[in-house]
Amino acid sequence: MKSLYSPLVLDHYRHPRNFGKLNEPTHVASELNPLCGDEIKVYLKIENSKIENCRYEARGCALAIAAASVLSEKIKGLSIRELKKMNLSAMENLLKIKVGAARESCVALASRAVLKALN
Amino acid sequence: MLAEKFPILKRKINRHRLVYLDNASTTQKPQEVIEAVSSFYRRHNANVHRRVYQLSLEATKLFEEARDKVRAFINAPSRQEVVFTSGATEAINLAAASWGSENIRRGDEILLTDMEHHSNLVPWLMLTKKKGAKLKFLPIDRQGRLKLSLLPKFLTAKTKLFALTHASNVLGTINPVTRLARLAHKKGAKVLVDGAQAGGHLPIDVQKLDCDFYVLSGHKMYGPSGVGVLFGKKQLLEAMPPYQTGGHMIKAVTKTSATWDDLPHKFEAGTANIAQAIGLAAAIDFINTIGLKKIAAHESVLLRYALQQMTKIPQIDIYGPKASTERLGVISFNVQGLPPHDLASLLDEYGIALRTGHHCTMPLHQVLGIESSARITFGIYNTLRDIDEFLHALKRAQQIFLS
Repeated sequence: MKSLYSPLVLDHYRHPRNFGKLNEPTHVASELNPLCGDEIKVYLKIENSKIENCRYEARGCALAIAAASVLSEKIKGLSIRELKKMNLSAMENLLKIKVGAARESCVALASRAVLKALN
Repeated sequence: MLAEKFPILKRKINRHRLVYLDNASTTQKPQEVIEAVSSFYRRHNANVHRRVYQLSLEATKLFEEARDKVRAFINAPSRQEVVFTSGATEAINLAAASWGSENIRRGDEILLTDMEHHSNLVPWLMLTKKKGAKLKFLPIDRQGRLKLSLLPKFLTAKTKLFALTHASNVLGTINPVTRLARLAHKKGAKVLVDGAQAGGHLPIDVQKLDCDFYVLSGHKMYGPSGVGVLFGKKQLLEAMPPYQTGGHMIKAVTKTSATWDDLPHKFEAGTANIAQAIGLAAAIDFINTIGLKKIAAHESVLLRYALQQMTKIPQIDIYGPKASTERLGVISFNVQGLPPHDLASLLDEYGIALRTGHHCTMPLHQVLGIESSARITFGIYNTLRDIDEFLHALKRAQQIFLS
């Protein structure tokens, strides 16, 4: 059984990409994961229905932060339509792990925040 | 070895031996308890009370014998004072709904402590809101012990009830409940003690304690889930209105009125959790065969070893009393830089089960200034080897996360 805490996950947890605020974001949203106490605030810059830039501020468990990091890299340049496909499965694929029910909300936190920002 | 009596401990989790360290959440069951429940269904199952046929007489005898065993276990003066419920939570809800709504009025005070489990908090919160009464919380010190010096400020002439835990499910703190009950009674307050964590770990003597109510959780003391106990002093229970009404708790019913059955049946509406009560009796037998003194001594050895080893770990915060003599085998902690749920997931990969989160004590975690914590809690079948494996996995987690 492969560990959840692979080099990929740990790298993105220790060195989260795109961490921080955005100047003049077009879309902003916060999400909370009551199970873990994870919190995230996502900043998006969307132009012509495409994600120009994405940053976030997050506090919480390794899976939530690693997920936010890989997601932020993936969605730059994606269309809004493609972005809406970012569900739990997609997040698990990005992180190359499969989580049990208990940690799903951690892995899906960032993608939920991004989808919330779009509305 | 004791672990052999517990079938589930033979399981492998992720190809590792199961190391079960979440006993404060629920305990595993010895073969005797599993057998008692299953044998009831195989050979003696029938509804209880007021039936003439042989099978029902057997079921009733087993059920009422279970009540007698509980009475002896907590040294209640009489069996009329032992009410079976679905658990400790229902027992407290019963006291709040029945005793509470009759006796709490606007301006009255109910005293709790900072360390209460939600089940001994929310029912009182809702009651005080409904009645316009006030809810107060006796604070804890830096070692998670009650600040007894503040008692005169918190326990006043307006206090009608002091509800507190016998021992904390997070801090492990064992409260001086006998002394506190005496002080509360001096002020004219009644006392409810939440024994959910104490059952199966500490000796319980409700007469010595002189509490007005005591609650027990069956599944936390090697018994089945779905059964608990409310002990209440006879005069109180007699004066209290029923909690739930319906079959089994009445003497006579017409279309316009109903009269209640005697104690304790007045508080046991509907068909009881018969099999579960019988399972609880088997758990009590199991505990008595080993002896509470021996159990406490064993858990004390585990606790001392675990505390000694854990305090050596750099960057660890351990909550609760430093002295092992003041606490149960309950250790909540945080490792800086290691989020609790990640620790739990990692340890799960080694077959180790521990709890993380707020452990049904959000206000306590707020007082402690933390989001969540990790917690290991011991049972009769845990060993020093379990602790060593936990420590080894914890160190591994630290290496992975903090290198």
